[in-house]
Amino acid sequence: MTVGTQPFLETEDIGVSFGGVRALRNVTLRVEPGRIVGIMGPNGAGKTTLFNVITGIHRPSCGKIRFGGVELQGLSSSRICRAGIARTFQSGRPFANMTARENVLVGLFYGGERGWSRKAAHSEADRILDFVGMSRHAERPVSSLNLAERKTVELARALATRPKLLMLDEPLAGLNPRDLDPAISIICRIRNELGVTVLWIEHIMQALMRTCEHLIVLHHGEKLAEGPPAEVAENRSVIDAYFGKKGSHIGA
Amino acid sequence: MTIATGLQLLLFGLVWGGLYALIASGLNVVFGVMKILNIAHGELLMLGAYITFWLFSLWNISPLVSVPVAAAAMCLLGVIMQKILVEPISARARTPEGFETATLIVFFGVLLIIQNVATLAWTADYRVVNYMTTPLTLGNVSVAENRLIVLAVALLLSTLMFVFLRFTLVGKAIRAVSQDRETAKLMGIDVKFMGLLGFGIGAAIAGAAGALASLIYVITPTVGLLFTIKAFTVMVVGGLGNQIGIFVAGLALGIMESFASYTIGAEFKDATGYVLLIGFIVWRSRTSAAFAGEGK
Amino acid sequence: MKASHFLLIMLAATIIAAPLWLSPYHVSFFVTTFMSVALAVSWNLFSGMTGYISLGHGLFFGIGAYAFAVATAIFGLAPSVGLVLSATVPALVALTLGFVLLTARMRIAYFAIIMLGFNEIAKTIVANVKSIGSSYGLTLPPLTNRFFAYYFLFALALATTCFAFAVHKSRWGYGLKAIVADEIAAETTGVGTVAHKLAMFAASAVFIGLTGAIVAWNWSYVDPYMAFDLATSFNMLVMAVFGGFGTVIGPVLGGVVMSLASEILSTNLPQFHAIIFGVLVIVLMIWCPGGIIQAFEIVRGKWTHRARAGVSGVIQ
Repeated sequence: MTVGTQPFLETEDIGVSFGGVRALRNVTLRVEPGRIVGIMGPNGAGKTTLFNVITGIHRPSCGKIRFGGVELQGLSSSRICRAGIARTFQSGRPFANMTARENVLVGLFYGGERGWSRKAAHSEADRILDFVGMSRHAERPVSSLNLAERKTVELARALATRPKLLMLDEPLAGLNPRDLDPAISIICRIRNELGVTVLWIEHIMQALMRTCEHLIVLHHGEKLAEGPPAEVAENRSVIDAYFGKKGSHIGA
Repeated sequence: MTIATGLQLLLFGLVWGGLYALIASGLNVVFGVMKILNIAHGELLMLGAYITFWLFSLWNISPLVSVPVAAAAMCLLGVIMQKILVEPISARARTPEGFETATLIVFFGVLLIIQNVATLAWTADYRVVNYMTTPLTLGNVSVAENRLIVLAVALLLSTLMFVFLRFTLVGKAIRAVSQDRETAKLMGIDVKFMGLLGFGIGAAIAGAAGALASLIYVITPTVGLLFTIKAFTVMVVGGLGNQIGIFVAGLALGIMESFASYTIGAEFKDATGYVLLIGFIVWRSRTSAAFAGEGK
Repeated sequence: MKASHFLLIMLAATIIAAPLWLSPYHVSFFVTTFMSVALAVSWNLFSGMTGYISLGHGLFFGIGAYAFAVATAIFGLAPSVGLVLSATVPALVALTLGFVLLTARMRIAYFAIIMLGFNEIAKTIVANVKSIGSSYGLTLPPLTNRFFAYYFLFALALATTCFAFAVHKSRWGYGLKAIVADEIAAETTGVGTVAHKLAMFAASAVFIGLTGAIVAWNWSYVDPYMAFDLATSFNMLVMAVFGGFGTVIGPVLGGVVMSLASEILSTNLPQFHAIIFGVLVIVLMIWCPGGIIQAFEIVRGKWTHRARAGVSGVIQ
């Protein structure tokens, strides 16, 4: 299977209900390897639910998820992680009872690449923390860090699991304006330097417009539109979904 | 099994079921408002039973009068516990899990304290309240008067609870806090007061149920725990916050136990409810993400 | 050899040689202390290290005691067989229960009350099964060697503590800590949470089951109320929490200190102990949930970081 031409992650007709509420319906999408793909949509569109389904937190009521040819639906989240998919959470969920480095160590010990010796793992953890710019915080307990730092630790932990696909759920949410650009640049470097495919839920349009090669729009649990950012921005139904009938131009 | 026996069992089951439903509704209020599973709930019931017993034995006070007395006494105890135990923990806890863990452990302590104080004070001797034990015959079915009274009062109290929570302003406030604490706060509801109120009401119901239970059950310091477990079963099977569901589940448990008692023996009837609980929780944990919860 | 290692070895040697000059009363006190330490450390092995609070862990104590009793008193098997059963039967029960309770996420409160309920239900069931003595219990063949319980429980307490230490230091320990912090995030980071939970559940059951068997044998007697006593479940929790929830040394300290305290407060009324322990655990939870270890760290001035992290991240 050659990377670059084969679809990498694909979902087929995913449907999920929670107590009678259809959270996702007929969601079919493909993520090509090596890309930065954005997912957007109004609140409640089902974006996080989609992430939860792909990473095994919820079982879909119907549909399939394929990653590198392997079917993921029904597998445990830890199995899916070892298959090469890592994710972060909207609120930033690093392990609060550990230091930054220990968080990364968990990712190293349990992620996609195992067999690390104590010593090697420690240096690798420091290397990863350095990549995301958290070196000087390595020994600090996570609970003493601010939101941006916590989210970065969570990101480092995800990278430690050696993902082929990194799924980020609103990584920029809650960040100060001055922390936005550094965060975006880390995300780009993850794709550019590490070759990891990035699937990214975000509300901050400018970030998505600047970085993504492909955008998917969800609304009311369904895929509304997808395509290159410029195209999606002009899409009538997308504008309607966000702004009601008379919308202004969404753009960078 | 003859129809007469079946009806008899059904009636017995309804008496107990009504009681279970009542106890569960009390547990449910506390759990909803404060997100605390009060594992010492049954101990409050036990205290209510003892209050009834002593009032009856020493001063010949009718158990029916003791129902509100026990309720009031336990309400006070409940409010005190909320004030000195729950509020400090609530102030200090950093995460919902931390709060849940701390309150569980604290109320485990309360459970042991109350059980052992009761044992010291009143010994482990069996106590019984003999009140209106003459049987009434309705067709083929014979039932002691006190059972009918228990059923009637339990149903009455459950109905009052239902009306209170559904139709009064305070009741709606309680339900609001149970459903969405943050929004309730924003709407101007004093959640701290609701905590006191909720615990007070839940404890009062436990006390009242204890007074009723003393009529149809043997009283010892250790009766509480089984009632707590059954109330929990009913609450979970009926659905948290679902008053009607809890009512039906309570009746169902009572009836189920009654028939189980007849078929597999009285000693094992407690286990049947328990098996139901386990099965139900396991099934729901797998099929409903919301049920599994963010508890861990 | 480090000074601390030397001290520990001296301590162990003293304990091993002690029965030679200790009175039977003191030996008995130590037996209780070793039992307490074994139970507290074992409870913490599961509840402290996974965050799933079990309020009915005494279930395994009772199962171990009864497995031994049934094997020796009813089937006439050798005590060694009885001991093996007292380790394996609780483990099997733990795995079965764990399969039902731990393979999906469950709310802490639900798990807690289910375990509490299991202990109660086991008590009522055993009390009603005539073939194993029902509520009258079983009389066991006497334990002829007066020091057997002393040495066995010491070894057990030691083994449990070493096991806890090994787990804490290993990679497995990282995974467990992750589960305590955030089970879902741990899963998505590749931690096999089910395996971790089941393993600790079964391990704690083995140690507790063995303890139950020895205690029963020491008393030459077992009945459902003593085997599945609520106080057993409560005490192991209080000791572990008092010492330091989630730590390795904490439950050891808790077991020792509280055994000592129980001895000093000795009265003829067991209810007093329960009441005092109850008050203690309430006070602990409100003011010092991390127990002795937390108090230590506050005194050493190292508390500021940990205070914010919360001891083991669960309580507070």
